[in-house]
Amino acid sequence: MVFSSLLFLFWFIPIFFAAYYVVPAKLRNTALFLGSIVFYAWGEPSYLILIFVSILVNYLAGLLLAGRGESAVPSAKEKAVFILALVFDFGMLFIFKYTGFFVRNINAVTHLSIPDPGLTLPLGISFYTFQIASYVIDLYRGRIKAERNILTLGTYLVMFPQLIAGPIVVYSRVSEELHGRKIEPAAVSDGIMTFILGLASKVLIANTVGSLWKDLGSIGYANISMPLAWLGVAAFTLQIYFDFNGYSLMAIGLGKMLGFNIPQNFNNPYVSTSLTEFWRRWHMTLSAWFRDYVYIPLGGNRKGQLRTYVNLFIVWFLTGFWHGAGWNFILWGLFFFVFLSLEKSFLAAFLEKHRILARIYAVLFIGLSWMIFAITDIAQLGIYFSRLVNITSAGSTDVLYYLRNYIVVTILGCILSTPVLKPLYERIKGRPAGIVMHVILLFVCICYLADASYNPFLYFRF
Amino acid sequence: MNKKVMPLTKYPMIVVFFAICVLMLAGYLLRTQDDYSEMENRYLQKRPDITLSALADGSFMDTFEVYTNEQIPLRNLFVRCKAVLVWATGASENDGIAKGRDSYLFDKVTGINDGLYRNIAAIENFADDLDRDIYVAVAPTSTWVNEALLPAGMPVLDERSCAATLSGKLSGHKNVHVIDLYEALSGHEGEQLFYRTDHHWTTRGAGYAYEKIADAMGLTVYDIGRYKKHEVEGFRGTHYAKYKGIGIIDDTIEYYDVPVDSLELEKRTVHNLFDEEKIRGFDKYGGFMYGNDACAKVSAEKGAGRDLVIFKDSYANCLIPYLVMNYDNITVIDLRYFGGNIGDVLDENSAADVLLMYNWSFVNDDNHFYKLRRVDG
Repeated sequence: MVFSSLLFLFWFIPIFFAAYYVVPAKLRNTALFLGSIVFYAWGEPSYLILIFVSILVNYLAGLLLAGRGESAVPSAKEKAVFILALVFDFGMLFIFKYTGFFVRNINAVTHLSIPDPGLTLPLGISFYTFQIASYVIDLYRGRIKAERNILTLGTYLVMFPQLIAGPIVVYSRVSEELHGRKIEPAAVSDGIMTFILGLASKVLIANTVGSLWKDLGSIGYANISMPLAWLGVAAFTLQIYFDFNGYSLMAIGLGKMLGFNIPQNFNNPYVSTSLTEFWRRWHMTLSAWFRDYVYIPLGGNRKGQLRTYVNLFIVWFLTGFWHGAGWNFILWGLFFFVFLSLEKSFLAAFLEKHRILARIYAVLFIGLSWMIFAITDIAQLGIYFSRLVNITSAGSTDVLYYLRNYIVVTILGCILSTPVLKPLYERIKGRPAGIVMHVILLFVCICYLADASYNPFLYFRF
Repeated sequence: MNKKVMPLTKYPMIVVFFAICVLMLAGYLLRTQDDYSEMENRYLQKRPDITLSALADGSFMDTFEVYTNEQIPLRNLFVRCKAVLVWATGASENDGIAKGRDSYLFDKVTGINDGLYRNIAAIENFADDLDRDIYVAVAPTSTWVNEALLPAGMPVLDERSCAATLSGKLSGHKNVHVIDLYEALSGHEGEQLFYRTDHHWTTRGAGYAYEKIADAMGLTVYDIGRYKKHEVEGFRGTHYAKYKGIGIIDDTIEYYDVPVDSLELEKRTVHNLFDEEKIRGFDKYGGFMYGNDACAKVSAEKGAGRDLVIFKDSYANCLIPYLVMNYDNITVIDLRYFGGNIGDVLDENSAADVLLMYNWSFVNDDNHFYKLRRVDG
């Protein structure tokens, strides 16, 4: 099930929340667990078993690691349990997400014909693997206590707001709320508004500019003019932000309605003045995960210059590959490795002195990086880049049609990518005008959903 | 209870939001489900029954989601509001249909489908297996004919060169005669050859096609004007059903009382070529030939000495009245619905002319051409 659907709005929300608010506080986890199972199984009943096994394995590993204290040296048994748990968690991710990719590439290189098992990606596996891994790793480090109640751990893993597409919530952050949370009307009210904002981001902006991007694909990149190609860059750049940030906002809002504080995932990434800053503002929970569980354990920047760059390379290779089992995603990750390394060595100092240039630089290369991300076929990617510099097509009129149809939403998207309206929003939010605004937004979203012909979720592929 | 409820009045957002969700749910549960949307001209999914097997294979969930989208209470209001909101942003397009000059609506076709080449190959194989001549007429779409009325810069497929590819491949076969309707329909500025709100050509547009087809097949061109003409006003067709916005000019359908002995349909036999019942409904174009039938037989004996078998899409429905003036018997096959053996039809009409009459986007989109072959045994 997806949040931006009439099914979720008018069947899941009223039935689930009625049950959730009515049951006594100690049954809330049970209600949330069952509701999340229905939510998950609606799209993919067959992969439920995978999640159940994952809960069980990590629960048992947790019990075996329960004795780990902060300073104690791990015993051989604890080490073994820890490694086995990680092998299981990442092994599942690897098998279901990357088998096809490796089989194809091995076949291509060796001229063998190993059959591709053709596994479909279980919904949300990239996200929930990272979440459960945080539990095992933090436990091993002695930073948290083992969860003795399997239902509580299960609820953490499957809770529907962030199960499928994040934000990635590490266990230590929510363990307190999992064991007892208050449902405050003020937070619920706030959560509803956040949810509606997220819904509107997704339905009104991401889906709309997304259909421009989709059109370019069906016209064929080779046939579009230079101005239209640039409009396409803008369209996809806006689509992925409003899609993913919209999803995160909906998750955060639903979290508040349930009594959880799910962390912020985006902080106006497109106003960055460097790509380093961009990654501090984009998908913040993922960057934090890689920092805390990969970069710092590898030694971060404390082991000399060479090691720092090697560590950066590993992190960005993995970040790219996490986003998808394809060469373009690896290329996309390495694109950031190159630019972040350049910024680290000298570029940052230069950008520091030229603020306007820095903004243009950041937006331009963020946009171009999205092309590597969006176009999975490397040959097609080359064609697209060649259109971006094809001056002879600059006079073509095809861009007029798309400007007319998408200019309003594009401008709106650009404005809403910056924090300029935030003070105004915060001021009216609690007032009657704010309530009216959210109700109107909800109404418009329903109109668009009732007529929806194009409603994908980009991050579901991961 | 009161203690719990009272503070909620301080949080109108909670009350309003859950009220909307609960009311909509109640609407789903209580209101009678619609079979059909007049405004969108299509059937709507009803609430599926829960069965174990449907739950296990996930089909219940999929169907239920379609049901939720299609049976939403106040659907027409929401859908209409969306179309107006889209229009208000200055956009010319809604749901893949764009409004151009003079309120003409156009289907935005941006690419060639893989199916096109399969369909062409199916026609070629059919021709090779046949021991007589066949005529193939491919009609342009409104987008090509009314190119001057398109919204500025709208992406269009070079439909004519695609059609030329098709002609080129087919004319390699000795017994195939391709009839170029692109030529027949160009150069008629100021005349309405296509509807504004529908994808079909008008009776006038079909008339120019008739002249060209008759010419190619060695038929006398008769003037349909000698029969009584009827006009059906207030027609809003398939393009409008998707566009749903404002600033629409209604179309008028014209049809002529070309006399026939009978029109034999799958389920009944009638004695004219236009279903007047359809005039009151949304699908007024569906009046021609009583809509699409798997296999319809027109008989209009006048000693012409010629019969015709026509394989066609809905474009042909308003062209057939013209052809009736030249033929004693016409067998009309719509492959989308046809379940019989093409071989039997051809054997029964061993001396008949064979015409394939399709519009270009149908050949690009449809996936029933595989039925265009003799089934042995």
